[in-house]
Amino acid sequence: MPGIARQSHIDWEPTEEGFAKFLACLDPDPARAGEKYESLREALVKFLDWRGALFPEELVDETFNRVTRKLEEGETIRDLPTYCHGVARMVFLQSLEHPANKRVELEGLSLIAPPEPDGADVRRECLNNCLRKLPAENRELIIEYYRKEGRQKNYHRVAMAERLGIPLNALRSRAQRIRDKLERCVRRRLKEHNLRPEWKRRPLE
Amino acid sequence: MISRKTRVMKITQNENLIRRYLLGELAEADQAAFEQELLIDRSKFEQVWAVENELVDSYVRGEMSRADRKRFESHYLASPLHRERVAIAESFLTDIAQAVGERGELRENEPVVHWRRRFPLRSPRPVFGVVLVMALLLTFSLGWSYIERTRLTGQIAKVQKEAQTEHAILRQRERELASRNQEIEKEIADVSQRNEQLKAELEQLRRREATLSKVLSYLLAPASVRSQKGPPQSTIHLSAGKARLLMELYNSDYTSYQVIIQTVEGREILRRRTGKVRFGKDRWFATLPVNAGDLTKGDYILILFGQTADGSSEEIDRYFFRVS
Repeated sequence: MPGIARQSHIDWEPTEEGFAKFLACLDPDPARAGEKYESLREALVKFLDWRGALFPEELVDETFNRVTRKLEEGETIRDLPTYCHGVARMVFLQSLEHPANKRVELEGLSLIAPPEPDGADVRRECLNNCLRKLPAENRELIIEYYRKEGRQKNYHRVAMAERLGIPLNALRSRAQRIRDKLERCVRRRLKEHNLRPEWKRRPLE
Repeated sequence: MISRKTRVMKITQNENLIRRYLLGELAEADQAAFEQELLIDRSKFEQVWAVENELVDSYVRGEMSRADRKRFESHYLASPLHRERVAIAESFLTDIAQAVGERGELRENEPVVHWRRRFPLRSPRPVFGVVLVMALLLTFSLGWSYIERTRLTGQIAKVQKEAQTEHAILRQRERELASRNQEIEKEIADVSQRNEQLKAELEQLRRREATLSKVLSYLLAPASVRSQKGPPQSTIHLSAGKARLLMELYNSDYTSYQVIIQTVEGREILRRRTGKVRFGKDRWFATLPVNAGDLTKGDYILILFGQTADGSSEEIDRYFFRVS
């Protein structure tokens, strides 16, 4: 799925010095700069994800590359997160120009995408594999968190947070991160599965 | 101070904004401004993420209203990444529901229908019209009840949090009052003690006053008894306020008596008529009450005169005394 991000990524790679400048721009303390970098990256990836980007992580990498290049060229950036956000929006809009990155509404999709009778089974198998790979504590937490639905869900989560001795927000955040990790794992596995020749696709592992 | 109602309204508005953002209903400028806010406020970012997951879950579980579902499908599901997310969520939630079902727990909602199968299903046959309308009504009521429930749960959580805060404040006040109570009790004890002291002092003063108000009697010995010149035989303490001087009468035939007090230098201080009193069986005394103001400190001579029946006056005796 070639996009603008990939092309630029190949064209130019940030140097170690450039990346150090980028981090220093976030915070003079290296440890705090690392934390801020991760936090900024996560936020930008989610923004582009919410905007419907196909490969938000790659677009954010491209964003960081462009900003780092600016820094290496000697440009002074006062508010790096805001600057990066602006560049990310631009990179995203540019990526939409590529035909492969066009959004397709579900109604249109149903006409072009053939049904996947085995898709759900493969996905389920990937999911089970990824769940098994999670640390036991995280696995139990995510299953327990989503165990209830309907009107019982909220009470159940409040009770769960009380039982764990953490605020509800912290529990929600923890569950979100595990869910995200699980989703990434499933996507990776599905990708691996689809790259295999058809005769090799089963069993999954 | 923001009222609870205002806070609830703010939360609802905030959640509406998040939903509009996720469903692509914000203009580019608003979207960018909203993301700027999320960059600064990490908790808000987490909240958006949570709302996204809630949207996905409610879609998968068929809990979304018709309008929301339509918006969700036309915008959110337009992204392949999101479609994959929904599919993964569906697998995950179905697995969990099955696992729960195997454990014998009851599910509240109907089984999840695969969104890929559900979406293109737009049956032209009118025979299903009524069923479809009923299903839509059911979906709408489910969606509405879900929104209401979410709102009420939020309110309950807020109220519980406020109650906890109030409880903590009340406990703090209770502790402060207990402490203040102890202080007041101590003050009361101190005041009581002081009261007792004052009472004791007052009692002492009363006793002293009573003592002072007693009239002491001094028996004066006649000067003739003195063998030589020397200090006066009687010393009278007039600091007590009052005193009574007694002069024994060996001849009580006089009709009345008169007393003259003069200093040793001969200056007359006091002249007064007086009577006689009997002590015991047959002892008579002439008496003279004196006040503190009558005499100052010093030595005095008291001359006692008797009045005879013919009206003449005779000196009976002289007495020396000292006032201190």
